[in-house]
Amino acid sequence: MADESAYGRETVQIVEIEQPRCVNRFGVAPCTATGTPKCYNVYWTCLDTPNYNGTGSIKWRFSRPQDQLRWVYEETDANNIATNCIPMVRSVSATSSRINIGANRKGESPLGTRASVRIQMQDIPWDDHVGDFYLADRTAPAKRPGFWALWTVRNPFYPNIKIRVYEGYKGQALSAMQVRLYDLENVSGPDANGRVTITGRDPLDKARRRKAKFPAVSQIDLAADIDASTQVIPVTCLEAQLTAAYGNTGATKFIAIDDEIIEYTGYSGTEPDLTLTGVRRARLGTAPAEHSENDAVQRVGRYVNIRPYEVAEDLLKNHTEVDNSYVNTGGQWDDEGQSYLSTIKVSATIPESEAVEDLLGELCRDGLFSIWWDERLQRIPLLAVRPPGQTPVVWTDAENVLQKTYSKTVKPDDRLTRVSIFFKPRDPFAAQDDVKNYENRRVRIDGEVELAEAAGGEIVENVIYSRWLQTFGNALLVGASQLLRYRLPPEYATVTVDAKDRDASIGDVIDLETRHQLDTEGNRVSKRWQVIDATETKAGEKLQVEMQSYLYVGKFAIIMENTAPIYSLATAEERLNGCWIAENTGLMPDGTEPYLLQ
Amino acid sequence: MSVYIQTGFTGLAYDLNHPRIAHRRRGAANAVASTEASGFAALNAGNVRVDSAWRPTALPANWSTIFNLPRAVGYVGIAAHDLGTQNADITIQTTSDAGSTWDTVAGLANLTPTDDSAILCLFEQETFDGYRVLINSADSEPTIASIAGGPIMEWPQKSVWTGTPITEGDRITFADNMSDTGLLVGRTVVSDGLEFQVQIDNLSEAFRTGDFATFKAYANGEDALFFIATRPGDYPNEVAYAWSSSLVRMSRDRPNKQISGSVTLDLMGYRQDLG
Repeated sequence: MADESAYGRETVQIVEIEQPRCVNRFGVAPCTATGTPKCYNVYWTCLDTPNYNGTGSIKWRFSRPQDQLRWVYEETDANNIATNCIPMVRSVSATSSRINIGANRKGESPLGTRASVRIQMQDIPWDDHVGDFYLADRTAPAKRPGFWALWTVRNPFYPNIKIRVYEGYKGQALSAMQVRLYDLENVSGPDANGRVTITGRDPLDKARRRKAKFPAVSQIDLAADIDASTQVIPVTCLEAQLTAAYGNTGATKFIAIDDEIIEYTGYSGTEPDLTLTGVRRARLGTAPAEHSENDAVQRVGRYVNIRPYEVAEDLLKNHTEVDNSYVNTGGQWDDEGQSYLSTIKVSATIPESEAVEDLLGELCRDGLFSIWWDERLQRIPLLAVRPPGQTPVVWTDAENVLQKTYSKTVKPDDRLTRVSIFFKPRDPFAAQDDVKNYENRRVRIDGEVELAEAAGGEIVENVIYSRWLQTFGNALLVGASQLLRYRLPPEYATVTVDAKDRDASIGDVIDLETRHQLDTEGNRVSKRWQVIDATETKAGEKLQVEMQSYLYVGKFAIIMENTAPIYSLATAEERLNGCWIAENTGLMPDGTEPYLLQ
Repeated sequence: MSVYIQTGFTGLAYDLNHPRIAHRRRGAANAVASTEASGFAALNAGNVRVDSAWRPTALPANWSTIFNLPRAVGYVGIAAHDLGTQNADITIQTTSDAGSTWDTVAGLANLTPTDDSAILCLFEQETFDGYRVLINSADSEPTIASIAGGPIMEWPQKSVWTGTPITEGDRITFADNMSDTGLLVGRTVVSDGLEFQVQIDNLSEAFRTGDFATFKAYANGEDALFFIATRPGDYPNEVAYAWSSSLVRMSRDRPNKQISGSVTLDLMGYRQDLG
């Protein structure tokens, strides 16, 4: 039985740990190593680290003993191999990412909840029959040590080591299985019972860490006292400190000394005694001032007139350790951004080092998109706050929702009645919540939900201080989007579905038809939800899906090709993505709501 | 699962309805093969593991081992393989002249396993210089893990005729997913290998301190895996590549040293269908 739709499918799990290893051979040029013991082609066993070349890889594969898998050894070349499955996995438990749509849910990281995996293994005696180029040159120990006992000694650190968890069915090719990707975080054990615990975290975690800062903390000192007007700014630093790009201003760059921002376009001198050139004092809303020798100089981040998702891409690619291949993979961000986010451009000055995670959160909120680590797609997708791009999948009580698994929660505390957006800050050094520092404010109020008769008369306001938004139009869009989603208390539904529906993933839109959703007359109604978390509680058997109520008024209109059909002949998919002008009644020919031009 | 028996062979000390256990391996470190696929060296099939294997790159092919000294051999076993799937035709051979010539064991030529379960070949135990497995033909190059040969352990008593036969020992449960309206929308087979029990009573003190002591040390040790055929004569399908899930030991049931001992083996093994 070889796929999720088959009755009698038999699940299998394969854990793959891929680590880099050296492509050189011991003592063979360029490797100059001599002596014993010979290396295991990993860094911490290397006897010639200057010539270590870790561009090869070995994928250690592990399975549950009871799965009794066939041999899956693969060899791209002698330096890149994947082993057969070593049967020592006891359990695998994974937590899916949980998306924070538009970074609007308070108390959660704007990047959502991180995906993680915890794998428990039972160590077994290991003879190095695979992965050791010099096995024949070694003397085997009298008693064979465990695999992990050896591995942890040979690999005290885990740089660039990846974990893949394959989940599929017996008889299924590895390439057909679902696979989730993580960075190896820790290997704990083996303990006295041979138990080993391996944990992995999602690669986006590298953007969450404290060290992911923008701009990076500079190591630049002012080399002499300067007055408030001189254009000669001597500094002591490495050239790279001055040339690094923090934003999209090209050759024009900025530094901050105390509360003054100074523009420069180049430098002269010999490292580390450099003098800035093309200097302009007191830029970006700051005032000129005197500064003293040895004052700390900090590079300033500056983005001008750029799409928020492009800023996010730059931050992730150039200012975190996140693997660039995960970001905007195959141009997905560009496709999504150009289709649905093209109207918003932002500018901002970041004069002090700040957490990239916080900046990404602001960009998601103001740019109306979400990003998260999708461990199954193995990339960081971007999703605009928008209507579904294709006909939503329909899930019903009869075909999809498993017995007694539906539950719904309502979060009345998360509702909003008005959104106030302060934007265009004057002084980039001022506190973000200093309302006097902003040039503009846009308030959007939903009068109906502030009515005492309708909702108790309570005013619930979300105040946004945005350094990115520049126009009333953009602020209007952000305010409207927030109110649209949260004017009613947001609802969250959780259902568990069979593995046949395991393709459902974060960001998908689901039309749920269940007896638990009724109209005022007691009729069951279909309701639209967006998946924010999808976790296989039993790998290959059951998928638990958490969904957030999905509200998007209107249809996103796209100008169509000449060959587009008339409305009455268009398919549901075409109606979702096309644009037709309404009848005189203000409705479409079939009585549905008209398209909105934004 | 199949036991193949040499033509005319009726057992060493005991007939073929007494249990056989094959745990002693000879010459595994000297394994060579006619050809080896990359990552599937001949030596990989010489250990107890089923996650390392030998695979030839051309057919016919052979896997062989020549002992450092002549050794007693009464069985050849193959623990895991895809010979059935590949429609392979194999032959078991021995040599008494260090591999210059190979003698096919009578009745063990052109064996065609019908599935991919463990194979145990029994024959007259003699001193040989080595043995080999010949793959005469197959749809494509098969993969074989854990080939073993050596002296067989015959049990002096038959096993108790109760309990779960090996061929009924699949540990399988079903996990059914019912929809909210009661429809069966998915069924998962949850497999946990093979589990069976073998009980042998009326064993002597001499057996306990002899053959059994050797087996016990092995089964409770690091390698632990062995072939077992509970009644190979009448039930050739009752064979498994197994290990004990509890401590192997003999208890005294009665005060007569000729028949005092009783052994219950709680065994787990590899199921027939590799995924």
